[in-house]
Amino acid sequence: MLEHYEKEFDGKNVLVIGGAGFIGSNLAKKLVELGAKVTIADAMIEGLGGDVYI
Amino acid sequence: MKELMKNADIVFNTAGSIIHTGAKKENLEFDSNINFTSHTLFIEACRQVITENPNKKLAVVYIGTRDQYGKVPKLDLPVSENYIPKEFTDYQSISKRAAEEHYMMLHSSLISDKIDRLKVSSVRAINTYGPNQDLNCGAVVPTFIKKSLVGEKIELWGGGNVLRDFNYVDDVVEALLIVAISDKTGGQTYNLGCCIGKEGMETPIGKNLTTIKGLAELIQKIADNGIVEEKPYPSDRAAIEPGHCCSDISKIARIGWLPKTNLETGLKKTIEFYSQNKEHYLRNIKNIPFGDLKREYQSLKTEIDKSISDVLNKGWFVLGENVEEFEKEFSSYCNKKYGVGVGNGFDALLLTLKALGIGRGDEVITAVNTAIPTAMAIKAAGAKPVFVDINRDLLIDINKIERAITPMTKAIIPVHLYGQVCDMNKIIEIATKNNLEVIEDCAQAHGAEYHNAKVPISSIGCFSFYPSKNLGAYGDGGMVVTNNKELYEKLKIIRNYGQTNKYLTEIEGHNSRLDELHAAILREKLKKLDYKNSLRKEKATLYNSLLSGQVELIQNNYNIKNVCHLYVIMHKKREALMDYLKEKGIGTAIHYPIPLHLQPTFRYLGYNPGDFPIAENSSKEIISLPMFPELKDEEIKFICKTIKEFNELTN
Repeated sequence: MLEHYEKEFDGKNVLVIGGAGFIGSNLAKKLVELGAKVTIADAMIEGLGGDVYI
Repeated sequence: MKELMKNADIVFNTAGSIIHTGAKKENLEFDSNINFTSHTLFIEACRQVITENPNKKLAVVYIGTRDQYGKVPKLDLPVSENYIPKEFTDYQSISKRAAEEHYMMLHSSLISDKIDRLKVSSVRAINTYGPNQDLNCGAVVPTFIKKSLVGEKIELWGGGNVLRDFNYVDDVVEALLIVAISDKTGGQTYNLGCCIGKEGMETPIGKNLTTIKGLAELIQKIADNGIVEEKPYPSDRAAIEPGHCCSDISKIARIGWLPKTNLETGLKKTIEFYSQNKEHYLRNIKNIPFGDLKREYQSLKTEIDKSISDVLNKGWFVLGENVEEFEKEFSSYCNKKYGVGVGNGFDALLLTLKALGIGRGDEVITAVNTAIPTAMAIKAAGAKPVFVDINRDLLIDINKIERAITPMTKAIIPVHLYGQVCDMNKIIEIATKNNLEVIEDCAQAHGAEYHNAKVPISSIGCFSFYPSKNLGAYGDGGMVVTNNKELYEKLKIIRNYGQTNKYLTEIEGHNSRLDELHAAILREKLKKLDYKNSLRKEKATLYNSLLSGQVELIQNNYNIKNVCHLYVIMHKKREALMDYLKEKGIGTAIHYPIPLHLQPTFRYLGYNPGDFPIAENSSKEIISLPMFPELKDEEIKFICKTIKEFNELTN
């Protein structure tokens, strides 16, 4: 099902809030793979995603 | 945030989506801020972006949590999206649910205003696991993986028989993408999980439903390490005993999502990721430094780098705008009229004594347990240090000050050690009665308060900006703050060769100036001082709660705001404990191992061992544990666990 939608993200501007966190960082990486223009916003609070390994 | 949203076609808000700071009251404000207040502000920004830009189209996906169903009776499982919670287990779930309702209200209110350019949906995630998760976040999969990788025992309270459903992060990401892009998802909430209807619990997709025990055994098998142990549920934890969890995913299945990753496959990928990146993810457990200024720099890098390059580009390095501004900013932070930047904390004391005309033939009283520079500055000024014993809080004993006063005494230097504040009312009373100056050594107490007033409490305070201080430069620095105008003017002359005008000197001076580079850095850091102090306080509170009953804690019995420069405890077997902690990779220090009257330099004063019994005894028991704003809670827990282990081994 998703394959059908994957191309929809190509060229889209996508903002991921909490993009340095666990779900956010995995989501952002996938979006980039799909050709989206990704912006990440994150409070970088230590222990709440502020220490992500990229 | 609005600017970012204006340019976006789709916004995913994952903020605060999975971290569970627990059902603790003290976290209420923090949890609600992340899980509710920040979302409310975000929702308002969405509304404004849509209404202010007539052609703007936007899809917003909120990542919520299944936790918002609260505690669900087994008979009600699996829960569908319209399940009404019966009992909430913690504040986070309540604020999460409230935030989600706000998102949905935003959608419906715009629809009723005939605006269909905004589509808002929510995805209720369950136990998501996978690479890039913080192993210390407290969720069950990362916790078990961490324990397995370091070979620690996995303890299963109550046997671990409760059921949980799990989703691999790639599946969760796919669900978010589908919900974002599908047509009919506006105003809708979707469960994630692995069961379709009641029957789904018998045949969960990808075996993603298991007991906690089943999960622990699977992780242990894949990691090929660790021990699983079943334990009865302790009675004091019964209140937070978790129930079964399981969501019905029929609704999201209808728009084309099903989990693809089998639990075992997902765990294999996850464990492989952490095994390969062990050095990063498990480093905290291996080595906890006593202090770590690299972490501090990383937390402020952008601001610090800019302030440094601004100074370099400006090309003015000694006694310029930054020093002047910082003198104003810091003295006003301390609620004092004047500030004079000097070379270091030692000079702050020395120059103050000189400016006050204290020198040869005079005596200055200070605590016997303090850093060497306090007493050395008195000696350098030509005066004689006179020591006074301390209390069990390791600060100067106010009841012993008066008997140390002689006709030669000119000043008292109380030292606000470790971030605490001396009992200043009494000290000021004694000083006033005996016509003595009070010079407060505030080197360890930036921002500390006594009866709600910031130090210095008297008219003169001397600060150090040594790198490890609560407010520290990247080298030496110091300041005197005061309400005494005469002293202020004199200090400005003394720090600069005694020059009253350029190339004219009328009094003996020094070369002791805070430089522009450090002043610029300190101005940036001052903005964060209260925040960093509040982090120190949180760390100290955690230490106190975990160490109570294990060691002797240092406590004040009057109204102060301790800024926790150091976290000092007392232990009868200090040396052995320090060795044990060192073996476990934990850095410690002693502040201070030798009371000043027993230091070779001060032998000439004629004191003997036994003169200051409390200082001497406590100097054999005190130990400073790691304490800095960037220290992680997990590290503190590890330190406290290690101390407990030591106590059990040695008792």
